[in-house]
Formats: sequence, structure tokens, C-alpha cells
Amino acid sequence: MNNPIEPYTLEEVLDAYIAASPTPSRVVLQEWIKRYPQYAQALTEFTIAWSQTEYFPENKNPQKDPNARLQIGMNIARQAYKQAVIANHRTKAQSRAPIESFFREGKQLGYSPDELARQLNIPVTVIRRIESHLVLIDTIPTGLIESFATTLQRPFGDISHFLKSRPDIPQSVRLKSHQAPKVAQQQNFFDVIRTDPTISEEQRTYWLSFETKKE
Amino acid sequence: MPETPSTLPQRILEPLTRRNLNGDVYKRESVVESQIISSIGLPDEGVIARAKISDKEAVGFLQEETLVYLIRESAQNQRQLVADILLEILLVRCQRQVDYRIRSLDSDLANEAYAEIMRKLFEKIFGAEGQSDYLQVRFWNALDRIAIDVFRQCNHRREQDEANLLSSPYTAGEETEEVKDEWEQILIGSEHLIPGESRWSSVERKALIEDALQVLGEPTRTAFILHYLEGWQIESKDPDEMTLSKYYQVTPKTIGNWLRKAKSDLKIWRGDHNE
Repeated sequence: MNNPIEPYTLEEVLDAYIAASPTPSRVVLQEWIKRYPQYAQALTEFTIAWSQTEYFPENKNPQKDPNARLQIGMNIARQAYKQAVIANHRTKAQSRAPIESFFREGKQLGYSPDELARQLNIPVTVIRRIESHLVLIDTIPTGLIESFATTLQRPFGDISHFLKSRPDIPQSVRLKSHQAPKVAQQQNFFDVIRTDPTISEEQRTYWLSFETKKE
Repeated sequence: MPETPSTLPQRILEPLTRRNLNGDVYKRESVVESQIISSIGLPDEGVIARAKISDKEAVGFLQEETLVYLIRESAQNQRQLVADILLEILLVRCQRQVDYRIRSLDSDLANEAYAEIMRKLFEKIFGAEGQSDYLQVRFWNALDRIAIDVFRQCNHRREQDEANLLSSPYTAGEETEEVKDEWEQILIGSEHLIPGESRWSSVERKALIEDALQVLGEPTRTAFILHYLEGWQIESKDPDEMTLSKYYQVTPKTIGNWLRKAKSDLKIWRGDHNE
């Protein structure tokens, strides 16, 4: 049973409500009012309208030209299409901003870190090492870089550009040592795969199979 | 060496991001995913040819959920010709369902309702991430929800317009005690309006009910539908139960009077019909 205080929108509740019963039902309405008391009035009004659409008689002067509505619909659809293309241009322009984190990019597409890892068939820990520039880019299989590009809906070049960029040391870090700061040493991708404690045996075997191909 | 289709990496579909009421991310039916995967690599003519298949059982048929995905994709890739044809195919498929939901509205209001339904539908189809998710999972439920909701708004407007023109004589006055007693007997005795009556097929029964309901005005007609056809109580001891009296915020006696008025109008209608 869902928690009624969870912030579901009315639209989400109504979408699920209409799927719960093939026809309007007083009994189902009662159940849903108990489950979502915050939407009691809206659920009731929706159910009444649903019943009215089932039983109200047909208007005696229906639309004469059956194609007229189709034309109205097409005009609205084309307008919506044009707006979508313009919005898409804007989004693409914004998405050209350089990648800062694979996880952040994935989140924008709705992937949790685990889901992203599943899509890429590598553990979260390995993704983290790659995005922290702790893996030598030349040792990363091309197929994996392609997978990043496809999954994150970015051009291949964007991914490789991010991987080639040098790890940043935050400007806010105060350095007390007389020696220059050292960035952790980069590792061969296959060494990371061999030693990662979280990787499954199937994944390990799969990725190590690229080692000979790479050489 | 050019890649053959079999060596091409499988394209990953635009993920769904919205969650259902159980907290799980919506999931497309596997058949929809297969249809999308097998369509997105096709040239424009191939996609159009598949979308034009109207036989649901035919190989290559594309469900409405798939069409929604392909329409979004064609907008993203600016394939206007494909988008235009897919939109028209989707509209034609929707027409019957939408017309059914708004059939009781007069033609001007029905046209307004139709346009509003289409606006809401396409706002979702072309909307930002997640907006079209439910349409890619349960298209017909999503469309029905939009259509009923728009009908509700239009019908409410119609009722308000009618209320401004006419004042109902059955809102509060003339309350009588014997409202409930005869009603059920008369309905049971009626050969026209018994729910589940076996001498009528469901289609005949529905047509007959619709015909009879023509003679009733509002709010009598809706109260009649809810009480006699949907089983709503006039009042209830259960404080959580939604009843006619509670919904209309009038006394049970007033509801009784509305139903009595409906009974009286239907008696006349039956007389006319039986002549």
C-alpha cells in the first residue's frame, strides 16, 4: 500500500486510478479515497465525469465533417512539433557544456549510479576511478568509451575530451607542504579490473577479454 | 569495413524516468521495446510503412506506445516528414476513443474539448523528459484520463451556463418523506431501465438508457446515473463513503426530490415510447 503522504501529483494518481478499473466504480473510488484522501474531491469529480461520458446521450447535432476534427488535431500536433524542435535546439546547445561528471550526466537522464553501472556493465567504483582520471585513457577499451557516449547521449568526442582532461586540484585547497601536490597515480584499466573488489567474475572475464585485443 | 546491422551496437532507448505509485520507474512493455528497436534503424519509408499497418495481428504492426516514442525521436532528429505522417496515423487511431468521450457535448463545445484534448496530448508527447513516459507505457489509459478530465471541465462549464439561464426548482424546496419508497419498485417494474435486464443486449440497454436520459436535465440526470446505474448511496452511515448528498452538499431529501423528478420525467418518456 502506498503511503498517502508521498508527494504524488494528482495527474499521476488519476493515471493509475483509471488503469485500476475498466469502468467507473464506486467501490474502487472508496478504496482510492482512503489511499489518497488529499485527492478525495478530485477523484470523486473525475469518477462522476467518467460515468457521465459512459451514460450521457449522444448530442443530436454531431460534427458534420468527420475530417474537420482531424484537421484541428493535425494543426495542433504540427505546432507542438515545431515548438519541440525549437526546445530541442536549445537543449542541445546547453548540453554542449563540457562534461564534469559521468554520474551527473547520467542523473540528468534518469540513471542512478547503480543503473548507470548496469548500463555500462562495469561497477560504480570503476566508473568513479575513470571519471576521477585515475585510469590511463589509452588503456580504456574503445567499446567502453562508445558505451559511455551512447548511454549518456553524448558524442564520442565529448567523452574522450573529458577523459583526456587533466584532473583538477580545487583552488580552495590550501597547500601547506613545500612540495607540489601529487595526484594519485593513474592505473592501467585492466589492472583496475583485475583488482576491483566489487566487480563480478563475469564482468572481470568480459573486460579482461579486451586486454589482448587492445595490445 | 562498413558495419552490418548485426554488428552495430544495440542502440539504447531513451530511458523512462517517471515512477509509478509503487515507486518503480515506469517500464515499457517488452513488445513495445522490440518494436522501437526494430524501427529506429529503419529509413523513413520503412518506419512509415510499418506505422501504416493497421492490423494489430500483422507482422510489423506498431502499437500507439511505440508511435509516441518514434514521434519524439523524429522531432529530436528533425525528421519532419516521418513526424507528420506518424502524427496523422496516431490522430486517426485516437479519433474514435476521443469522439466517444465527448459525444454528449454540443458540437461547438465538443470541438473545443477535442482541441484541448489534443493540446494536452501533444504537450505530453513532445514535453520535457518524463512527460511522455506514461503514454509510452499505457497509451489508451493516458488518453482516456486526459479526455475524461477535459470533458469534466467542459461539462462543468455547460452546467454553469445552464444554471445561469435556468433556476432549478428542485434544489431545496418541496422535500417529501415518501421519496424513496416507490422508486425502486418503478425501476424494477420498468422494462426499459433495469440494470442487467436479460431481455436486452448490453448494446440495446445502453442505447435505451441513453435515449431515456435525453429527457433529464442536470443535476437530476447525473444523480440518476450515479444512484441507479453506478450504485451510489444517497446517504451513508460510513463517514468515509462518498454519497450523493455529500457530493452535492444538499440534504438527502433534496436528492430524493431530484430522483423523484427523474422518475416523473421518465414515466412520461415511457408513456410516449410505449404508444
